[in-house]
Amino acid sequence: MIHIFVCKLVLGAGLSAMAVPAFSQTAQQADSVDSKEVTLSEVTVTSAVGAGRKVAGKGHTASIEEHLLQLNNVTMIRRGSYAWEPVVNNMTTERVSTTIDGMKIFYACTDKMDPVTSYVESGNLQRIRLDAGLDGNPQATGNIGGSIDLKLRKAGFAAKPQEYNATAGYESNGHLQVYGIDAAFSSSKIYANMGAFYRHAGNYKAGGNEEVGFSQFRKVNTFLNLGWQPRQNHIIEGTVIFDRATDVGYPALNMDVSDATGLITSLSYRHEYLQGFFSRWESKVYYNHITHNMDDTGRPDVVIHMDMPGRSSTAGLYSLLQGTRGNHQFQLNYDAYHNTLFADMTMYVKGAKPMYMLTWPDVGTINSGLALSDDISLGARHSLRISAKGSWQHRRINNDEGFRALSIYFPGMSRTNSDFSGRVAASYSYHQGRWKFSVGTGYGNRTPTVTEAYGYFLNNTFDRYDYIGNPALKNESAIEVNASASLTGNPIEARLEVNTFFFQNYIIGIPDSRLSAMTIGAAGVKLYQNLPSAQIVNATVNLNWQILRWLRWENNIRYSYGKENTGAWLPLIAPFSYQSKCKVLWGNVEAEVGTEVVARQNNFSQKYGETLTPGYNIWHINAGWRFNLGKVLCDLHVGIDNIFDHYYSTYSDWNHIPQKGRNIYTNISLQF
Amino acid sequence: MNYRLFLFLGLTAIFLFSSCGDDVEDKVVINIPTDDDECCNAEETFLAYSFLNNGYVRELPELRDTIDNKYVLKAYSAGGKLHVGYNDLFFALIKISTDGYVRDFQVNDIKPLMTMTGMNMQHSTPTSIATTVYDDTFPAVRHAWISFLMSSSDGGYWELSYKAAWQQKEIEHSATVIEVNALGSGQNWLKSFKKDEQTYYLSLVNPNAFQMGINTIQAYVSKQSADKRVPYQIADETFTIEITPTMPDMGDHSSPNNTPLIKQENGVYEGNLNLSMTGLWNIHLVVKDQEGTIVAGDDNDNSGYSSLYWSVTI
Repeated sequence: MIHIFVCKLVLGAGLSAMAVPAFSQTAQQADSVDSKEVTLSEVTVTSAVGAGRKVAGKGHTASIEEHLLQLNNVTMIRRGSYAWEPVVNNMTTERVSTTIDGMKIFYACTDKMDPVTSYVESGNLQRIRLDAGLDGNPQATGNIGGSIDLKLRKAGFAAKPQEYNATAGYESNGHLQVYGIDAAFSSSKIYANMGAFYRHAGNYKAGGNEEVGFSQFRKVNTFLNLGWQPRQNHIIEGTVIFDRATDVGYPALNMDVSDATGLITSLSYRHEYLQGFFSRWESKVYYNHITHNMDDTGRPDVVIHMDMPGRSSTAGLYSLLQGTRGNHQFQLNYDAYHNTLFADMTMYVKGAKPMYMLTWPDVGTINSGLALSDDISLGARHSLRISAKGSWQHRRINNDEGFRALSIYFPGMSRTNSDFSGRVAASYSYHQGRWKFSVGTGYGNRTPTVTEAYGYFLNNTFDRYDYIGNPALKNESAIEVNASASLTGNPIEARLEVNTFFFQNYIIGIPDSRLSAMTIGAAGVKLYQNLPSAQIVNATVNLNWQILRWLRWENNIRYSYGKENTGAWLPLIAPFSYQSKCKVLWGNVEAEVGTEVVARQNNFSQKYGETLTPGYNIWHINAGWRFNLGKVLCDLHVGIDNIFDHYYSTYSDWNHIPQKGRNIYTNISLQF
Repeated sequence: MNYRLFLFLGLTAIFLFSSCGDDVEDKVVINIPTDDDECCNAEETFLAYSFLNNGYVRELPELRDTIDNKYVLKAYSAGGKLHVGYNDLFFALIKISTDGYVRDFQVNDIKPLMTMTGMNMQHSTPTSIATTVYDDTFPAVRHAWISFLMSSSDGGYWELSYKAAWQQKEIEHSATVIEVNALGSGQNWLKSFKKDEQTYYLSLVNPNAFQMGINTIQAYVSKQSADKRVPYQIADETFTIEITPTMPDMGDHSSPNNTPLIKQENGVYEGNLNLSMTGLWNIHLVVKDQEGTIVAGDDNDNSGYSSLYWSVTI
């Protein structure tokens, strides 16, 4: 909770020059207020930016998911090679808030094929900020596990007058191709940056040259950012992102996706360097819309062909005031949004009338919240941070048919539901020389998601159950306790971090033998229920050794644990893992060789449909080189993942679909 | 004065003022000719007219008859058609001179009869026989029902006769041929079972009105007459009909919280049927007598449920 990890996407060396001025004027401002006693963990995607930073070998061409994986508390649920679902502190989407520049956005697929991170592209972003635990970013709601904010990349004022970038990448496994171009123009009054990206992959091969069918995808993304400063420190900014993925295969599921389209827009006003109590004021209005269409026409042996479209649209606003007074740094945020989720399913049987049902019955959600935080510096060695947020939420089932259908299972249920949820968190830090110690605690709750409250026969291929939402669910709440100790400096850096979440009314699907499954072959029906209690513990150890000026050895150990009240293991809890990397940084060349050892998942949750995942060990190597070609600045990366072509899958690979086998990649970024 | 214009103005006034609240409605003066006591008042006329002309019901011209050439008796059904299984029939008596709807008339002795030409035999089918007022707010429309066992075909034809009575006048509509259509696939609304060598018929009322969600459904249990040519009347016995809906195309997916059909005072059976999605549903039936003994539906088919079932497609 007390640790913010910022994954700074200075995308390709070519872009860093452009991104940095923007950062200096926009994002840094915001961060200065947020400088709670934190450990900033930066993942830089470029070479030659300096020692001490993590290196992501794929540079500019890495996907957002690959960037997210650089963060300590993050793992990914993978249903294919596209659109992975981020898991923070071993908690999935329901317990994690994801925002784009503070904007709420909700996925449109009832089967979670489109986590919202799939509707942006690395090239749209400057950095990804993760606030682990209950101390979330001001716009976050329902963030028990953590909150992710994707910060958009804006050219900023008074940056380089004009700049052009091009990037291209290729991966041998699955013939993945990535192409991107962007341009930025900047003056003291106005700026604009825009770009387009294209990704395309065929089926990838698992270890041993085994092709994984239906793992292809194609994606196009374009963005435009505009800024206007009519008067000094009065800034108006607008953003449009259009993202469309087509022909996306999901080998772990029974269906693929014909298209998933997102339109993300915002308009904001900022006033910097205010005089008085508050020093900065930012307000934003936004709208985003997602349409998602599943498709099973490419699959062989489909018993019943189905159409499963989903829509999500969100309109909202937030207004953020930040200020500094004495030893206090505080912020106050008001946010409100309205979201509608609609999904239905039509099944076509030969010679009979199609069967139809609403899987999300057009649920409208209005949510409005007030958040505040204060960072208090208590002398040179002590600091304290407190934060709180309260949100009021109102939901309504807008579709009559959907309401009537749910009423079968919950006779007399109400069509509307209003709820209050909130969170408070406090943390204390103590510095002593190279040592720093922190402890923190928090309490928060979350309202059930639309799926948990009103989902209707959503088939989960993981445990083969149909899930029905439960409108009578209580809010889930959790108490978080965390502590960390870290040693900084040369040559040894060390860090130990532990956090524990004690849940009450933990929401999970429980089989209901009275109900009959709808999906052919399903094991039964699960109804979301509140468990009396559950507990998740995460522990991380980092140990880094700067052996030589140019040679660094990084080690990371993670252990997690999750149990519910009966003593049964919770599903999707990461097994013990150890990562080790040796990094070389020599002039304009960087290189890395590393391994990942993951233990057998002994604590798999048989009760919740999980099966054993064996342990594995994989190796990777990569290198990057920055050079000038005339006036063009070039960055070249090459690398090999899974060098020994090991066949394996992780605990969070849906239905144990295998990971990529040996993958040789290269990419180049050019800056003009 | 042209009566039609008069009626139109009266109806318009009713329509306009009825939507303006009770105070205004009380003050509306409706000028109905005093010599037309036999007809409905304007409001009843309006409601009857609306019901019979809303596009849902249409006349069955082959069942039209007249009384003294002054009154015309019209029969209506859904879409002006008849089909296998349960059908609603509506009757209205219209005064030819004024187009007004007559009240207090009777239609009874409704006799459907199937002649199976090839087999040289005749039989009737479950029927309500007499009519009742369909809706108290417009007594000009009387209601009956017929549940046809089979459709008209090359092998047989249906005829229907009835009697009508009004102010001591009685007419008999002699048997006229009616067309009974087969139901589409995925529809089977009439089932039978045998108890002590007696055949009973289970007629499900208007499944076309079923929708996704909780449905209050109705059914009739009729008893085959000793003389099969006599319409089959509602059985005097009291049964309980347990229902389990399943979707054969979805691995016999079922729904919870269905309630058995229980006999009501007016002879109809009523219960709750829950349909969790649209499509083909088989409603499996277990019929029990008053002692709770199963009299039909105790043998299961491949679905694991009773082999006695109605099919509906919503």
